[in-house]
Amino acid sequence: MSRPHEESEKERVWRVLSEAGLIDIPPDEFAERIKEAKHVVMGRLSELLEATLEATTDIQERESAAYSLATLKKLEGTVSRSGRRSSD
Amino acid sequence: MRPTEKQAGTAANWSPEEGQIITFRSLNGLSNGIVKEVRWGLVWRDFILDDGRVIPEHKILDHPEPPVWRTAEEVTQDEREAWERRLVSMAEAGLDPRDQEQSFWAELNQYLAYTYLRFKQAGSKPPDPE
Repeated sequence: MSRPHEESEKERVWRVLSEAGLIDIPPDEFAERIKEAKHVVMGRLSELLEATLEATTDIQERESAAYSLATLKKLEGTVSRSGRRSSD
Repeated sequence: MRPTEKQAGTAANWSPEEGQIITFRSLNGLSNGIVKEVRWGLVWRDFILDDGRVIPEHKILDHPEPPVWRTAEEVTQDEREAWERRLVSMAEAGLDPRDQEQSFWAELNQYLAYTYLRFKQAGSKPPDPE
């Protein structure tokens, strides 16, 4: 039996990541991609902070978003430092 | 090519296994390498070659299109946190993500893709039908 929904979902995910330039990131674009990922996480974190968190999963989601944001900030610092080194 | 290694199969008998030779798109055009290990990342599979290079499945010639990927929901919290710790360790150790086809580059690429998918999708999901 064919599963058209599943196939279209795979294609959609591929398109979303392609459009975001996240499938094969060129070396000189990491800083920009990290910034964009941070923007997405901050947007989601804002939504979660504004919402009334009742379910445990919502609270976990908020903690995950905050943790991911902290990770991205650390990585952003490293990438920008190594970028400066390579351009010296 | 060493006589003991087999050339990896095409879409009909995907996927390449340990010891097989794969051809993939690289910075300098097409390259070859021998698969040492295949492992799932946060989104896609990576093929680790015997010289240490890490090749995402979608860069290998004749991979299925669209490739089979994991959904963000399939990744456990423990797995994600371990991945994040590893990335931070590699960053603190001074590795440069610009070194293409190396572990830091590969893991950071997957982490950004996963993070984008996870939080972008979660924030734009339509409400559940009642």
